[in-house]
Amino acid sequence: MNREEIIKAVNSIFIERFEMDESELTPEKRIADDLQLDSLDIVDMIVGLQQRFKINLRENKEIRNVRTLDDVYNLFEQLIREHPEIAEKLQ
Amino acid sequence: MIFLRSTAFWFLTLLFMVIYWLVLALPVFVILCLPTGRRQHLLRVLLLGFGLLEVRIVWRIFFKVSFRDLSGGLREPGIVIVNHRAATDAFLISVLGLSMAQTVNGWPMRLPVIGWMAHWAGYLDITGWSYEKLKGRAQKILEAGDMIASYPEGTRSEGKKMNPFHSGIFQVAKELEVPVYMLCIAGNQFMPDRKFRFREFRDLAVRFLEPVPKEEVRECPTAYVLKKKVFRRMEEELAEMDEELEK
Repeated sequence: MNREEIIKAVNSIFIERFEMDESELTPEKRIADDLQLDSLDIVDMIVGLQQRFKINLRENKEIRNVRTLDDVYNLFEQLIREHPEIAEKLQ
Repeated sequence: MIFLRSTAFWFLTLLFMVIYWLVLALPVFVILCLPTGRRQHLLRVLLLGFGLLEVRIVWRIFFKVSFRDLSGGLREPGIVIVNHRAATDAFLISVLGLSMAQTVNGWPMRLPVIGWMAHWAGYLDITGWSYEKLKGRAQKILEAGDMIASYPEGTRSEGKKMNPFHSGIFQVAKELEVPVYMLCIAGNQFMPDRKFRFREFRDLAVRFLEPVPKEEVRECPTAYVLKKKVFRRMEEELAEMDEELEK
């Protein structure tokens, strides 16, 4: 799974759950300040990511530090590198 | 001149508050002895009466408040989203004529008299309580047939631009599957300012918009989508109201 596919999978959460336009979803966008997701919305985002990537993020400390969309893409890129089975489950 | 008017405004507002609650001291004492649900509902009715009399009689000396109901008549218990420019909003919502519990930060409930009444009337402490407690209390208020008024900006904006909304109360609306009403208040951005000083006195406008029915609330995939929908609708209406007030 390459970075482009990861971006597409992550963005699909924002499009489906938050009805955002794909054009809004650029890597530099800050999740809280630009996309205006508050703590409750971030829980929704994490639930969506868990369902999409079929992984449990509850124990993941990195997810708490994401600030921008690029951070989310990087996190999943790293997770897939460490656990290739995530990508297999997605296909 | 503005300082004198401001002082006179607060003096008369507080004087009326003392008179109102002194006159009703005995009924309030009796109400406080009733079971919780009944007590809270009756106190909400008294708070509504207090707010209405302040706005329609006492404040009329200083400015007029016009009210337009565009809601289409739906009055099913639900959540009333209110924009928040100034402290006067808590009184101005009474022009709706509906008995409501408001969501507040903890401190207003510690104010003498009015804060105690709000506390006894079951007002919701949105910052001090857990989400589950907030939802449970909100459900009881709605089941009693009352509305919940909430200011999702979290704090006074003190300007024409609304602050971003928090999602908590929209999540409550979604989980309880109740309609979301919208109340727009325009003109009072500096009436008063954050230090409770009036920087101007001008006529105000209040509009009650067509609500988001519970079916539509249910269909929103997340609270975020619901809050975005409500925010946009209110932003649009407030821009129109501000423009009309400037004419």
